[in-house]
Parts: sequence; C-alpha cells; structure tokens
Amino acid sequence: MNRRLAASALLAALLLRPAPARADAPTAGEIAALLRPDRILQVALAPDGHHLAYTVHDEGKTVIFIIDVDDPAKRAVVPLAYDEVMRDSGDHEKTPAHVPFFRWSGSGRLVFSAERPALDVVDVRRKNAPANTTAVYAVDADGKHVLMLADEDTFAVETMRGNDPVSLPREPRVVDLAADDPDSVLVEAVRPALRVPGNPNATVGQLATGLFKVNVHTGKFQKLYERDVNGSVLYDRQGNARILLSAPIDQKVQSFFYLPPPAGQADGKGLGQLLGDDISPENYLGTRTFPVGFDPDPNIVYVASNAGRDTYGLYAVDLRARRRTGFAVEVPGFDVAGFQAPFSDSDLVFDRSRGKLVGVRINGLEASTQWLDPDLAQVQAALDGKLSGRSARIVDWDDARARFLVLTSGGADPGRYYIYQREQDRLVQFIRCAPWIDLDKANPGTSFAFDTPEGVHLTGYLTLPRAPLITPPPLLVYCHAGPWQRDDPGFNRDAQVLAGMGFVVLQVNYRGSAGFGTQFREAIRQDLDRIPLADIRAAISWASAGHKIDRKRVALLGEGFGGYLALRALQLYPDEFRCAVTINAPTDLELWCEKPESKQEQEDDMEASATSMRQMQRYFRSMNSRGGARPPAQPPEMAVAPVNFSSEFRRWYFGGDSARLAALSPARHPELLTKPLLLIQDPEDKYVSAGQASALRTAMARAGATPDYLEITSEFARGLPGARTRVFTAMEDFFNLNLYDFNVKIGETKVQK
Amino acid sequence: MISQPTRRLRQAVALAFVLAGPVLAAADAPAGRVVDLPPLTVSEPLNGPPWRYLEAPGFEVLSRSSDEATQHLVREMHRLNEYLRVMLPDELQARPAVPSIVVIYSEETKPVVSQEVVAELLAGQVGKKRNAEKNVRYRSMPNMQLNDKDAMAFFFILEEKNFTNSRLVLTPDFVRNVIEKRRPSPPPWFIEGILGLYDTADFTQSPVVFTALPWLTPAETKKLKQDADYPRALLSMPELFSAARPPRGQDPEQYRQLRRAQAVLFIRWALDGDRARSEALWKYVVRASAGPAGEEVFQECFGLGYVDVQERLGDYLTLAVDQPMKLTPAAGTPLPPLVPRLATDLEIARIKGDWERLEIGYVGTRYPQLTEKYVEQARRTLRRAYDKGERDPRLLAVLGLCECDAGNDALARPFLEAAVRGGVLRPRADYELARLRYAEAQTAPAAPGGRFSGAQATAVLESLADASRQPPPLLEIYALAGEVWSRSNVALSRLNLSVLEQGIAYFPRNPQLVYQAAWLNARQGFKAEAEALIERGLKAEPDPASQSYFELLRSALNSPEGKPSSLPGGGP
Repeated sequence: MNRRLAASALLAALLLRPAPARADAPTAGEIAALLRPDRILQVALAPDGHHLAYTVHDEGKTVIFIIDVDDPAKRAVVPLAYDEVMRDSGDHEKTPAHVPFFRWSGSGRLVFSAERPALDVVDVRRKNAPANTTAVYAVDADGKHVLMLADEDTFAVETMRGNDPVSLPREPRVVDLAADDPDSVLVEAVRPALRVPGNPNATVGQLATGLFKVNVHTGKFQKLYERDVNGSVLYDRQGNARILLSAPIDQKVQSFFYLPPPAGQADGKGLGQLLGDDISPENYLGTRTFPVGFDPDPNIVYVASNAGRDTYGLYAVDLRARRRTGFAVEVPGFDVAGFQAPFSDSDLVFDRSRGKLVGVRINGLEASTQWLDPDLAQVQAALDGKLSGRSARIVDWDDARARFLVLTSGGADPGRYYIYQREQDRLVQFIRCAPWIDLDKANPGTSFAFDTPEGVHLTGYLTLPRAPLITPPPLLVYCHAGPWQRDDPGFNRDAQVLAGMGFVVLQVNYRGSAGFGTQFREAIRQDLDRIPLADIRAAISWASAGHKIDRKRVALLGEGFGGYLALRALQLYPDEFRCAVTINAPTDLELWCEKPESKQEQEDDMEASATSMRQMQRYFRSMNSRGGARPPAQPPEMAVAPVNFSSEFRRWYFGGDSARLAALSPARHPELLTKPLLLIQDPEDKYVSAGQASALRTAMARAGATPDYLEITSEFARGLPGARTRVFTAMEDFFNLNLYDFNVKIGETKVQK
Repeated sequence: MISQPTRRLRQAVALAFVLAGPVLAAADAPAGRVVDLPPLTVSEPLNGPPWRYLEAPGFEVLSRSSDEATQHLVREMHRLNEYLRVMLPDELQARPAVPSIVVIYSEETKPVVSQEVVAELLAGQVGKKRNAEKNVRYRSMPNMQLNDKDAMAFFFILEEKNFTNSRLVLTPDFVRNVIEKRRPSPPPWFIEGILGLYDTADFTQSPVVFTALPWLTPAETKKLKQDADYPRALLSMPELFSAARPPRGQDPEQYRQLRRAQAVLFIRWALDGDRARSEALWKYVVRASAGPAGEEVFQECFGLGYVDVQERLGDYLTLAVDQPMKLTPAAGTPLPPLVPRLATDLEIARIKGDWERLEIGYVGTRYPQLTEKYVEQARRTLRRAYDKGERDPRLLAVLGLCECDAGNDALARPFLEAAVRGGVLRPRADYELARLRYAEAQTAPAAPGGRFSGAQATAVLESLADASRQPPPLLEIYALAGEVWSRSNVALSRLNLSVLEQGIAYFPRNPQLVYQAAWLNARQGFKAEAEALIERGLKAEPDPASQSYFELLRSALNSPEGKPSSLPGGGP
C-alpha cells in the first residue's frame, strides 16, 4: 500500500474508533464495588442502650457483632452463614444469607432469623418443600448462649405415608416479639396443606398455617393458632389470628375475613369497607381500603385507604366502637403505606417499652418519618439540625430514650449508623454501610420536583457525573420498571455507576408511577406510551435548563416497562434520543398480555392440562372396562390452572384491544427503530419472557436491522454484583460506541500517486 | 536560636523561641538536669572576627560567625519558610514590613555574660533548688527569638564545626507566632489545628512527612487502626468552628482535646487531597478570620456541606491514624546570592542595639532587678553610632523605641519625632509618637470641657494614620484613634470613622473596638452604622457581660430621649 494511503487509512481508523477509555473511567473493579450490596443488613440497639448488634456481610460470610456501646472494643461475634450458590438456580455467584428478623427481646436477648434463600419463582403454595431454609435464633448480649428457637422441622406437619409417620417441614417466619410477654417471640410456620386423598384439587393452594409463641431463653413453644387457609393471616400483637386475606388459587378476587376474636376483644365482622375491600384486578390500582396491622391494643387496627381521596392515608379503626378513630396520617401528593401489600406494617413505628404507635415512615420525595410522639419529634428535629442535607432515620432507641440508633443516607453516601447520645447532644458514628465507596469518588445526587408546562407535578432524582468525559456531559434517562412502581429516594447504586461513566443520570417518576395518588397512577392508561414519554421529555427540558447537558447526546435505559418506554421513545422521537438499552422489556404488548406471564404460569397451565388428560384417560379406561354395559359415568370436569393474579391484573390493565396494543408495540414497527439498540434479556425472567426480545429481534432482522443482544441470568435481577458488573460493563461499551461518537466526518480517502 | 544537632532529630536543630523556654534537649546529654539560660548579652570579647553584614529577603543579618555558617543559616531559614508553606500559605502568615534582624555569634566568640548577671539569673530561675540539686548543668540557650509588636528578631550561637552540615527545624512556638500575628487573626481552631499538625511534621526533608495522626489517646489510636468500624465521636463542624464552651454534660478537658484533634484532622484531610481542596481550606480560613463564616461560606469554598465533610473526616480518620502524609513543597522563590560584607558602625549599632533593646522587655518581666543593666547596654550600643553623628531614621527609631521600652517617654520623643521626619517605615515608631502626643494633649486639653482641640487631635491622628499604612496592623492604633475621637469635639465624617471599621476588619474578635466604633457612630448620628456594629458585636461576642454592653448601647440608641451624651461610654 502506498505510504500516504496507509497513513490516511490509519487516520480514518483512529477517527472512527469509539472514544478511547478515559484514564479515570471506572474499572470493572470499581463498578463492582459500587454495585456491591451494603455490608450491613440489620442493626438493633438493646433496650438498656448498652449493646448494639449488627450483621456484617464480608468476605463471603455473614456474622453478627454485638458491641458494648460504652466500651466498643468489647465485641462478641456470632457467625451466621457462609454465602452459598442458591440451590436449583444454576447461578455462578454465591448469594449471602438474608436476615429477615433482628430485634432485641424485652428481656435483653437478641432474636434473629437467618434465611438461606432459594429462587423465589417457586410459590410456596405449589411445592411440598419450603423454598428457603430458615432458622430462628436467640443469643445473649455477650454473644453467649446461642439457642436455635426454630427451623423447618420445629413446626413440621406430622402425617402418615402408608403406615409410616412422616414429618413435613414447615418454614418458620418471625412475626413479631410478643407484646404481652418480654420473653417470647411470635413465629408463624407455613407449608402447603396436606392434600385430601381422592380429591387432589380440594386443597390446592391451601396453606397449613400455624402461629407459635416461643420462649427466647428456653426455646419452648406454645401453639396459638393452626389452620389450613387459602391465603395469609394477620395476627394481633398478642398472637391471636384476627384477619384472613383469602386468596383462593383459582379465583381472581381476594377477600378479607374476620376471625373470631379471643374473649374480651371485639371483631371486625360487619365492618366491611371500614377495614378492607375485596381485591380484584379491576380495583387493584383504584380505590381501596386494606388492613395494615394491629396496634398493641388488640382492638385497634390500622388501615390504609384512599377512599374519598386521591392518595392513601393511614387510619385507625376501633373495633369496639366500630368506627374510625381520629387518628389519620395523610401526606399531600404521596401515598402513605404501600398499596401492594396488605398486612405489611413495616411503615409503622412502635415503641416497644411504651406499647404504642409512635411514628409512620413516609416514602415521599425523600424518606422521612412522621412522628406521633412529640418527644421523638424533638429528637428528630435535633438530628435534622445536626445532619442537614441527610435523611436521618431514627431506627431504634433504648427504653430510657437516652440513646438513639440513627441511619443517615443521602448525598453521595450509601449510609452510616450513628448513636445519638441525647444528654451530651453527641452523635457517634458506629458503622458504615459501604465503606469501600470513597465519597470523593461518588457522584452528587439530588431529588427534584417541578411542574411541567401542562401542569403535571413530577418528581425524580438527578445524579451528576463527578468527572464527565465530555463537557457538557451526555444525559442518560433511566426509566424504572413501572407502571405501578417508582424511583425511591436514597443512594442509588445503578445511577452512581452510570454517572461514573460520565452521564448525567435522570430518573423521573413519570405518570403511572406508584406512590403519588390514584389520579397520577391511572393517568397513563389513556395513552400508555405518549403520556409517560411526555413526562420524560419534560423532565429532560427541566434538567437541561438547570444543568449543563448535551441535548444531542441523550440516551435511554429502561428495565421492564421502562425498557418498553425506551423503545417507544426511539420510535416516536428519534431526533431526541441517540440510543437505548432495554432490560427484559416487553416489545409486543398484545403477545405479552396473551401469553402466560411467567414460567410458573406456564407450568401451571401444563400441569392443569396434564391433570385433565389423566382424568380423561381414567374416564375412558373405566368406560372401556365396563364394555358399555352400563351408562357412562359423568365425564370429569377439565382441570383449571391456578389463577395468576399478576397476569390477570396485567391483562385488565392493558385492555383487550388487540389493534391498540399492536399499534403501541415496538416489535410491530421495527422500521421505526433506526437508532442503536442493546437488548438485554433474561430468558427465565418472571414477567417478560424471552419471546419478547426475540419478537423484536426477528422483526428488526426482517427490516434489515440487527440490535445488539445480551443474554443474562436472574443473577442480575437478584442484584448479585458480578452479574450486574458484567451487564453494566457491556452497557458502558455500548454507550461509548454509540453515544460518545464524536461524529467526525471523514472525507473519502484519495489515493495519491 | 541555633542548637547543637541531636541524633534524635536527625541532625536537626531548632529555630527556637525563648518565650516558651528552651525547647531542645540534646539526646546524648550527660546525666543530670540541664538548666538553659537565655543567651543575654552583656559584654562581648574584643577579639575575634569582625561583624559581618548580610541582607537576604526578609532578613538583615549581623554575624560574628564564619561566612559559610552565616550563609548556611540563612539558607536554612529560607528553606524552612518555603517548607512551611505546604501547611501555611503566605496569606495566612504574619509578615511584618520591617525585615527581621538576625544576630549571630560563633560558639568560640560567644558573648560573655557577667558572673554577676549569671548569679542573679540563676537565683531567679532556680532559687533554692540550686543548692539542693546535684548534677545540675547550666548553659546558655543556643538560640532565641524576641518579638516586638512590628518585628521579629533572632539570636544564634553557632557551633560552626557541626553546624554547616546540620538542618534546622522550626519550633512550634515560632509557627504559633507566625499564625497568631497574622491580621486578622485566624480562628482559634485553625491555630490549634496547624500547631497540632506541625507536631507530627518532619521538616528536615522534602517531601515534608507528617507521621500517622495520633488520635486522643494511644489506646484510642490503636483501636482505630485495628478496626475500621471502631466508633468515632466527632464534633459537628459548627461545634468545631465555634469558640463556645463545651455543652452541658461534657468533660471540658476531653472536649477541648477532641476539638483540637479534630481541627488537626480537618486540616490534614484538606491538605491530603488535591490542590483544590487545600485552596478551599485557605479560602475558608481567610473568610473565617475576617468574621463569622457559616455553612454557606463553607459550601462556597469546599463545594461540600458541613455534614459532607464531617462524614469524610470520619472516613479519613481510619487512614490518618495509620498512614503518614507527604507534602512536597512547591518550588519557591530562589534565594539571591548571599554576599556577606563588613558591617558598618551604623549597622552594628542599629541591629545589635535593636536586639539588646528587645532584651529589656524580656528581662524586665522575668528579672526586673537586671533591667537597668540591659537598658544601659542597649543605650551604649545605639549611642555608639549616634554619638558619631549617624542620624539614620531607622537608628533614631530604635533609639526612640529603646527609651519607650525603658519607660523614658521624654527621652524617646525627640528620637521618634526625628525618625518620623526622616521617613522611617516602622508602625510602632509612628504609634509610639502618637501615644506621646496624646499623652501631651491629655495634660493640657485645648478645647472646653477637657476635650482636645482639632489641632491636638490631628497631631495624634496623623501619626496613627502613618502607622496604619504599614504592616502589621496594630490594635493599639485603632484603639487610640477611637480614644482621641471620643475625647475631641471634632465632627467626624463616615470616612473618618471608616478607619475604625478597618481596624475591626483586622481585629474582628475584639469587642472593645467594635463597641467603640458603634459608640462613636451613634454619637455622630450614624444610627444605621451604629446598629450594624452593635449587631456584629452581639453576634461575635458570646460573653454575656460584653453582650450586655451592646444591649445597653442599643437601648440607649433607640430610646426616644437618646442623646449623644446619654450614650453609655466605656465598653466591654
């Protein structure tokens, strides 16, 4: 080759290369560090204020530390569990143990449960064995006298298999400390109920549910409740089963039933809508009331309700007086208490020693607590003054209210725990959630709220790159997997990683997101794509007005429905967006609504068909055996697959208008996808099957385009850092190639002789 | 000012500060207690090398040591000043306009202190213990620093044999002096923090190495080193920056100790980052020196809020207690060629006489019975040139100041008047002249009511104006200006009174000055300005007694019958 030609070719090659990696671009190790989950899972302050217990996950194992607050060098260590590869998962990475319960009993024993998780696609109602391996323990403050209070065998269901007694394990779950006994903890045990011989469908979906009061010193237990139920049970804080949420496996509608109360207590029968409505796919996102949990007073039940108002509020119903009390927690613009999970009282804060509700957690634009107790409100005010710019959450306190355990988060900090010593007005930092994250290398983040020109009030989060690759930096719109979800406040690891790659990261709670009232949630149904995209575009304009952003370099990243929105944005506004990455995105809404939602649902369908086949075969065999001598017996009814509430809800939500769904489906208009696209798909995803990605790939191939494609495993969705690092690294490569293209025009190479 | 090199300090010697007493003990000293005596000159040998004179940036050197040793000393002083900038930039150091004087003797020709003086010194210093103790050795301190309000002076006895291979280090008191004399004075937390940090520094080499940070107690430091999760109780940044007393329930000594340790940690954190962070620290300290600087100012300087930095300090502590910090001095101003020459009689009299003058104050506070001998010594030295007809204004100024220090105001005034007429640049000379004129006016006020006439006031204020134009700013200048105005009938303009506000800018934590300015503004009818100054005084002065003065002035100012004469004078 002519030397000059060679030089020109080399120049062209250099210019056409994607932007070279920056010297300070995050390495895979740094990305992995950011994506590594918090090392602290649970923290609890002893009632005497002298001991602090916390779990630490580090170097492949989880341990509990119990330290003397006054002499922190005195520390007891209780080993909990090593990380394990989740069984039946095909994972490559190990998963740490969970610690679902971690509290000090009134008598000063630390009670905790350890769970080695299994794949949660397995619904406990359809399996004979518990999904997880869970055990409940108690230990003294000095780390001695560790006692296992319960495991799967403790509350096993005894039965006979032939002539042999069989013990069927049952997974324990700590419900709460017993309000009426400082030495006891309430443990629920659940497993599929025994099937009745000869009628296999009769008990399908029923759960053998028991509640036990376990002494934390001796492990001795007392059965409080035992019943096969179609759903879940809400107990009062004394351990009495009070309300049943009946969710038969073959019905779409779930209903509340009020169980007979113990003597001297009132029940909820006849209170109907005051306590809770039936839950159906049709009213799931609409107007509803549902019980959240009991007060230490067993005649008071807290309910969440949006009846007569737009957002959910929290209220109390007095079962004796059979009416709501004056108690109400309402936050304009935000739902108090999630609407998804009945019987979830995690937002209610109780003072154990005083036996009363003292606060309600609010998931607003920032996380906060509405204190009902003036004394705690005063402490909160003192902390807010000392920790301005942070969300300071009072997690726990001693009985004397002299010491308070405080979790701070916000800014670029993933979180740290302090003990606030009230008398000295002093905060002592005890533990950091992710000490490996250097605050100086983290990217500043902030929440925002504004009204669009159309008058829509939008909220979200903006993360700015500490070291952008180019100035002004490109913008990445990160769409959450709504509708009926939202972006939450606090340190966001994904946004940090993306900002570390040089992007301004915009997360907006577009209409359809949860937590902002019914009207906001429902607004999207009028126009599934253009309404949320209008909000996203408005947020981009808002962000651009206040921050330096390269409007010519705007990309999208979305998971689930967020991925769908990213695809639609590329199709509808190709001049505004340069490229997109989707993760498990539905691409064909019609197909998505028709087909089973998950592998589980597919299995259920197949099992129902097989059952029907077997029954028909038996019927025909019996016919044949009779030789037609007698009239044929009644043919068996076809077995019905269990109802999948989630699928039913989705079908209702998106509607049955095939033409409309087809028009809204990216895979039906591949010719509109002209911008670079990376499709990331987990073939085993619960909600969006592999068919959705392949539908789009096939359609695009027919149109002469080939999107980039990356197949992942469920390790990504479960937050395992190795899997997430691989995916984010692939994303970085994609963005470097398609977003940091400096658009240098190179003239035709001329050969000079 | 120079000491013999010690093994422990790696051949380092200290640039010491006698006000703090001897600070360096030889590691290889023989057994027994060593009592260091100040190297006070009474007489000197007639034989020996002649006085040599050397001029270097910021210094005038008079030496009876070898040129090599003298040059080495000056180079070392220059190096140390360059190194000091890694932790204390020029803008935060006191830099008087008058060059510092350095007087050097060699060990062989050191001045003789008369036996009578030694005896009296020892009697005063060790008293009866002297006879009780055995193995007590007495020696002259090898180096010493004495300060005037507007100048610094150093005295060295060099052991030339070892000295030219040795390296100097600065004593903490020297560093303290350099910071504290800066105007406006940096906030106390910064001074404490810099001194604490300096305690960990090794200035003998580049980069300057700061050892791992000791935290509160050795046990606490060890625990922090061993366990990254070991709890840390840091003060909030407002607590760190506040001069307020410890909150109720806190042990005052522990609180003070924590505040000092955290100040060191904060400064170290700022220096251990990139250049922008240390620049942010300097910017913030300059702002905080000028007056209260809240979180807004902090954010403006660091780009971080109080809590952001508190979190970072908590995280950095783990590193700081475990790892040394290294700071490389920037390439500074090269030292011009150092060319010693024979000193003139005038230079010998002026520089040596100035040093001896400074000894008067030192001796006067410790050994008053010896004061007169030192006054005579200084006079003798200074007069030697004067009597030969030398009328250099700088010499005249020192002669005047010498008489002031000796308490002979009447003798001082002619020298000072002549020095000022000659155009001497030395704020203390102008101030002392103003003081003498003020004293004279006090004896015969020319205006009714015992007040000063315009001419009397102007005579004093002219000198004060000259003084105020030269660094370093002296509090006395502004206090006297306020006093003169308060005793004169002259109508004052805002321009006049803005001089006091200039003084407040230099001395923002001085409640008397703020009160005086508020009072004068109020008396002259500048109500808004008076209000603003009262507000400033109330905000800056946590002392309840001082606050009550400001409150009283405010109520008088706002009362319907409030007349200038009814305004409460005096002040906190």
